[in-house]
Amino acid sequence: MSKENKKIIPVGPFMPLLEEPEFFRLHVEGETVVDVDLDIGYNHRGIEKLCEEKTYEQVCFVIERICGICSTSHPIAYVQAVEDAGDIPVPPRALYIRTIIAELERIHSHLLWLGLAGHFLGYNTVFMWGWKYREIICDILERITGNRQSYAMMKVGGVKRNISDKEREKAIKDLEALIPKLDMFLGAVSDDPVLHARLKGVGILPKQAAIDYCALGPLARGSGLAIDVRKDEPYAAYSELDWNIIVQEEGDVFAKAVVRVLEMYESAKIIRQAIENMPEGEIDSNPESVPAGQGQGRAEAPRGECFHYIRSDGANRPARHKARAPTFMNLPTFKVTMVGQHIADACIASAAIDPCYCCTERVTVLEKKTGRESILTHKDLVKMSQERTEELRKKI
Amino acid sequence: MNNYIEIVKDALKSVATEFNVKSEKRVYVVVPKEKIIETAKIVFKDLGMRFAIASGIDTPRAIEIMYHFSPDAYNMLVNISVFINKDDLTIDSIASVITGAAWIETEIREMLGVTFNNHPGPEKLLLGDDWPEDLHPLRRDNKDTRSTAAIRERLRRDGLLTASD
Amino acid sequence: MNLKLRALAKSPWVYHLSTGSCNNCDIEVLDALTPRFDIERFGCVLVGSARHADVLLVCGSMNRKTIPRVLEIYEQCAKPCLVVAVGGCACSRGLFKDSYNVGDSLDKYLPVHAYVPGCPPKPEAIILGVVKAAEVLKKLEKGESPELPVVEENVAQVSDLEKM
Repeated sequence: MSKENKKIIPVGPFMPLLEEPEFFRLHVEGETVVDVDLDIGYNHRGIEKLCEEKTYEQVCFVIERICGICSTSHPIAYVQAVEDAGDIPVPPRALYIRTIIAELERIHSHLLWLGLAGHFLGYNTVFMWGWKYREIICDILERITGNRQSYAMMKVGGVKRNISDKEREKAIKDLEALIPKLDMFLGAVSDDPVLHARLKGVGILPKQAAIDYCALGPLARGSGLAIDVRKDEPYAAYSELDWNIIVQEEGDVFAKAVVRVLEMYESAKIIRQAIENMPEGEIDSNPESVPAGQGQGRAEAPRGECFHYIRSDGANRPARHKARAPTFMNLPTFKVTMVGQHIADACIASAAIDPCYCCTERVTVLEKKTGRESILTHKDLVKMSQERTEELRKKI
Repeated sequence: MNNYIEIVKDALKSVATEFNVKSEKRVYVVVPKEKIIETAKIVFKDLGMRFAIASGIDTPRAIEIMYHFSPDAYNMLVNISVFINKDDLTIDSIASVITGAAWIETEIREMLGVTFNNHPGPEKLLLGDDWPEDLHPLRRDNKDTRSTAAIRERLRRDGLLTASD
Repeated sequence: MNLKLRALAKSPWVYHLSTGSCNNCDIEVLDALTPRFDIERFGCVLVGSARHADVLLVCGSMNRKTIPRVLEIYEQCAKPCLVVAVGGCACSRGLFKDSYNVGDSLDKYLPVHAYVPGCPPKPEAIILGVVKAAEVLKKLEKGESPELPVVEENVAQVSDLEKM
């Protein structure tokens, strides 16, 4: 297929209203997507090279900022890699605190995603509600850690801050207030026929493709792959608490939305148990240094497995630190989930993987038949998506 | 658990030159680079492990690539290393076996200068179109890349960076 | 001209742009729109095109690849256009300043009228930054030419410590 005959549409709707760097390029024939190119270099900050010049403590702060929304999963995976390399013990109370912070982050990340998905589909109330109830979680986190995002809680050998009894009680109260609000999202996803029409059968990632592309997180679990680091290589306190992994079989955007909504309930369950059963004791084993060796650490971020590899030569800084965000494995699946889709579904199909770094620039459309190039803005794509919802609503 | 490690050891016996069991959760294997595609088939297709990522590491005489595999049902990681001598920095791409390996191979090419035979692309991933071909940020044997300051100095000399710090 | 500036100072239209960030600041900017912080009560509206913008909110650590795009967007903005650097990365590239893939800090490319430090700054701080930028507009309206804020180098030296 010659390039002149295809439409090319660069897109990247992570933030619907914001303009961030880069970008996907959709090749379109008529209104159907036939191919996808990705260019993610706009967000490469050379973190691995930076980390070679920072001490083990300083690295924590840098990798927290790999991605703002998975900002506690990367530090958890990293400190576990160092602890694996040096056989460094972690006190039980610290493990429970790590679990609580990680699950709070999962809820706020999924609410953020639900809000964005709502916006793409033209449900602006869902956007506002999702982000409003997210604030409850941000408040809990701010009280415990001091910041709404980027918590600086993790250190090699434990955590940096304790959770007081008062904070624990308040956190449980706030969670209880939040659960009924989650029911609203569950209701929206199960009962709204327009949502079903928009999301079912869209952006399907078949199970074998999920295996071949090594997909992670809700993207994989929505396609029938029962993988979750919290069950597969339990860390923190997950093996001591009672919770379920959520899997759906269909592989479409609807399945992935269901996975995320149900995971929030599981997260609330985990947090409540962790708070109630938190053991007393130290929160830090205060290791003196990291001996020579190597180790791997992984954590289940809201988007999937964060993987960190550490090689130590006994110095106060890592000799090599490899950090891999889940989106790195999930992004290439666009070749499967976006191809064959209607262009109005491009937004929501791409949002389904909940990408961590990718965004939008201009959208270039190269007309297939005439070879003429025109420019769409990303807002046009969101508008197309919202208009499609309107059409469906009128029919149903 | 130990039973599974025995299964892995047995499956890899035709390719592995070293098989170290650090603990019941961590296994480190070395295979020669010529056997990487065969190894990928054994581990991914026969044993059904998931490919997590590959870490490229610069060492004095060779580039080590450690492929991390996760047999998700067994609570462990199998790390398979190849050593690629610097006088012939090429290795076969395993993307024909594991589609999800294509991107990390591109990244290793950009960061360390290893060429992957039969790589399906993409050509570039993280570094810009104007990035010098011989500049591989994670290499330590090149004075231009021994630190971030050195890389910035090189970019400045090449006219690719105007910042003074 | 004066009429335009007067209207402007009341309801700044804000365009957000990221130069390669971890998204924390971007989410807090978006949060400023939500009911709890509600930037719209100041008349602030987030617009979808730089041509309509009075205030440019810039986040991110100045990735080399994005710099030409930032300059292009600034050209497109109708003048006067104020620039607000949101977050530690936009103020000075933050902890990515040594990275091989970042350029110079934002204020070396564009005039910055307000700095909002933080990692990320809270939405309240971002709104304050926009309001401060709008105050600059008021000065322009009065015919005063506002000085751009100068970020002083931290003047404490190691030798000062030795004297203590």
